[in-house]
Amino acid sequence: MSSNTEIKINAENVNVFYGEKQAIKNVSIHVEKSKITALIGPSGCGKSTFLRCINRMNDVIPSCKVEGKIYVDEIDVNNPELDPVFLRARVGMVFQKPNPFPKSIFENIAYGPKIHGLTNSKSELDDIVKESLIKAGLWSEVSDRLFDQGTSLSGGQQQRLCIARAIAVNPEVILMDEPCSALDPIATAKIEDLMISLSENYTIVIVTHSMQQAARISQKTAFFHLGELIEVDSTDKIFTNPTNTKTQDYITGRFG
Amino acid sequence: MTKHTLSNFEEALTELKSSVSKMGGLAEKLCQDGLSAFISSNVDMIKNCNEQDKIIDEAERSINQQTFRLLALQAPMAIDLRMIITSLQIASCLERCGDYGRNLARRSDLGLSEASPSLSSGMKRLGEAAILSLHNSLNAHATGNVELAKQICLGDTEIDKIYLSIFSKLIKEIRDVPEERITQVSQMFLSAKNIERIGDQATNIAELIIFAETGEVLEDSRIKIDESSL
Repeated sequence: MSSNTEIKINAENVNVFYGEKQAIKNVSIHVEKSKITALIGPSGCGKSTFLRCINRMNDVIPSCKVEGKIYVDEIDVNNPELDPVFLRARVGMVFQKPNPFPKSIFENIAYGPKIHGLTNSKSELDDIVKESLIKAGLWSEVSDRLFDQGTSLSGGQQQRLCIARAIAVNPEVILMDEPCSALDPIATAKIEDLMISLSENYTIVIVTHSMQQAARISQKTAFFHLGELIEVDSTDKIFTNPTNTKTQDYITGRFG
Repeated sequence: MTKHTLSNFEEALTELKSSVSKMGGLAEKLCQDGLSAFISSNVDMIKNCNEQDKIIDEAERSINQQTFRLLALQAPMAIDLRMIITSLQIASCLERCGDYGRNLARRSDLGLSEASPSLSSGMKRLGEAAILSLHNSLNAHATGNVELAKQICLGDTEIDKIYLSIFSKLIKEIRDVPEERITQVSQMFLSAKNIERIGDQATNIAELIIFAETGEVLEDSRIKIDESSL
């Protein structure tokens, strides 16, 4: 690894169990700061489970048990004394299906900064909302209807609204779980372009079933199979000359 | 290797490889026929070799279309991507080999069969070595044999040595020939270079096979003895 890379997320020997079933087996990975890392692999390989470990989204699943260490910078994610709400402000998440709150566009974004106490005045809050929408590439499309319902937007706009909502609380990491799988190619291209521009300031980890998407936008790609991390390398290497035969079989469509 | 789950992709890749092999067979035959016509001064072969060359050009166009379609429709990755890209490049090498074979046939009127025995035998030896290298590269392509491909890269030096020896002979000859034969001897230079280029193309193909199979790009796989690019 070159000396100018900075590690943002460090996972060491992570194991995840759903009851008796082991979903993640001894996964260790370094995620670099201000880069896009794509997690790929077949359904059930554990990539989404791993993603959800990074901001403790698995806490809400009663049978789920996580072992091993995950650090976001110096923060021990699994420290029982760590407030998951604080963690999720630093490590935001965007889901497969756009899920705006049933509130106005403005309120969707303002909610996070308000509950996290990030603002003291209405004008500051207005600024945060505007800045978040600009960063999410949505401002020009919604600036004249901020008090319309978030759910009135198109699917692609809703997803960008969710990204703006995540950005509004100043996260350092954004986790994305198949963020484009419900979107058409035009909305997908806008989100992908947005991810690339956001990666200058945020560390992004994305789960995707689209290998073309992983190839287009990520700098690092990790291939998961049956709960194991098979290979992680530069995206160029993974898609032109992967080291592991299992990776090659998967990315070339040899699922035999 | 495990087969692709998408059977039409698997079939298209097999078909592409087969097309390249067939084109290779055509190019090798034209090189042999062209060399044979050149060495035996058999001008009757010129027309036939011209026809063969046209078929090879058409084969290249067909492979170009196959690769274009596969790249556009299948978005290939890794070893598949390398195989498709190198098929395109190998087809280009083979098309050049076809041109060299045709050129040799066209120079069958130079009268090599009546030239000095050492020049004639040297040309024959050079031609056989270059065509053997091409033959081996086609075998390596068909079987994905990386070791054979590496041997071909190393063997190109021998072809260069034979070529340089012929080149020296021709230099001596051109000093002494009467003016009216200068064009003829110059054509001999070009013929020797054509044959040597068949060997170069065989080496190019071998390097492409290594890249397709392993993803490695060989750098300086050939030992350059022909520094002056004669």
